[in-house]
Amino acid sequence: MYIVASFYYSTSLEKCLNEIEDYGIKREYILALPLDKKRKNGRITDTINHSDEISTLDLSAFLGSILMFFGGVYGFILPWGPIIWGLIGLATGGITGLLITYLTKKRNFKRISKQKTSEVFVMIYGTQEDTKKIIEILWDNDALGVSKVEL
Amino acid sequence: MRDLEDHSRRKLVAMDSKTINTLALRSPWATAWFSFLFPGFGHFLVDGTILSAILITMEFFVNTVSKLNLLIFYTLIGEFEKAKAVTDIHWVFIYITLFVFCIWDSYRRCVENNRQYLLAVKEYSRIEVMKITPTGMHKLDKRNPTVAAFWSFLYPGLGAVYLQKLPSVIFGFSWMFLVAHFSNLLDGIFYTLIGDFSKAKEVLKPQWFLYLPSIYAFKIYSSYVDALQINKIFDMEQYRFLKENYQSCKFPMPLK
Repeated sequence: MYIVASFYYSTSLEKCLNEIEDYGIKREYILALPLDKKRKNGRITDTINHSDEISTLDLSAFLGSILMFFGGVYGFILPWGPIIWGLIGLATGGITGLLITYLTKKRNFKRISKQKTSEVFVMIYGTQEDTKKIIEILWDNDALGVSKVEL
Repeated sequence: MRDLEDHSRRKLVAMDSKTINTLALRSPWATAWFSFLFPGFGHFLVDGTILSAILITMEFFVNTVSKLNLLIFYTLIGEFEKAKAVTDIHWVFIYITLFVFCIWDSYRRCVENNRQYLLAVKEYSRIEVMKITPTGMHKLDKRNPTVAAFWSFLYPGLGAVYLQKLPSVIFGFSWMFLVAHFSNLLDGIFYTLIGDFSKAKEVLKPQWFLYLPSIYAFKIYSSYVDALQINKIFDMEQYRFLKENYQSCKFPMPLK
């Protein structure tokens, strides 16, 4: 009997594997398959997530900071004062930046949201009697999906 | 592999019980932009260390004594005579050197760091998951970048507490104390909230108030990208752990 589950990279995944071992499944009977993340092809989102120089937040930070500064300056002569105009500047700049990034890189954004489904697969070999308990442990520790196969 | 000595030449992350510093891929243009906003911030983004704190202190000092923010303020609202009168020429020239150097140097450092990063990820350097000492505890764990950015927006420095980056916490808090005190920020917020805008304009000091946009933008941005990087390192560490410990050749594969 095989049980397959998928997870995000997380501490609860390690806790889960630990609990399954405690329950009595040998480590040799647990197979974890951490998935490589797609690189290169997805020229996008956060600089740091992917090896490129384009980030979702770069333009927002640029526009947000400059407009907040102008809001602060001209707020001293405009009716509502520098604090309100500064915040308006920050919000306008930040949102405009995000919108422009989103519109110009729409395709990539979609690809990223698709990618984020699962990150690790775990396959466990156990007897029929163990199955129920193992599935319970998996669900208790934030498994994204669980499946049972008889081969 | 775990028990063997770590022979890697380049490290991705250094962590102790109080702080964490990570090598990361950053955009050189964003780095240069933050140096433009506030000399020293670019260095903070790339290296995150004491060096940038010295530059930032320098900038605070020179900007304040030369009244540079006031110069920019009066120039932008069109009162050129006042702008000329208020500035201390004596100090402005030092500022210019510092300013140009910081932009150039942070850009250069960022490009260098990106190269080192691409080499470092290929090496199997040991990543520690936890450090605990009598004075503090630090765990490598997933952080939510949006939450980090949000707390930084409410009070610059809190995002760094969430991420447990000690230098950012210390400097974030001290800048904010200084700036909020000397600009009369809180009085300004109070008068703005009760609707007395002319009083708000009167109490707020442009010289100090105009530090705030760069501090806010920088703190929000840096806590967001730092959180992403910490998550990425966490993933990397767990990936290696699973490959080493949960891929036994004895696993009974369905088809043999």
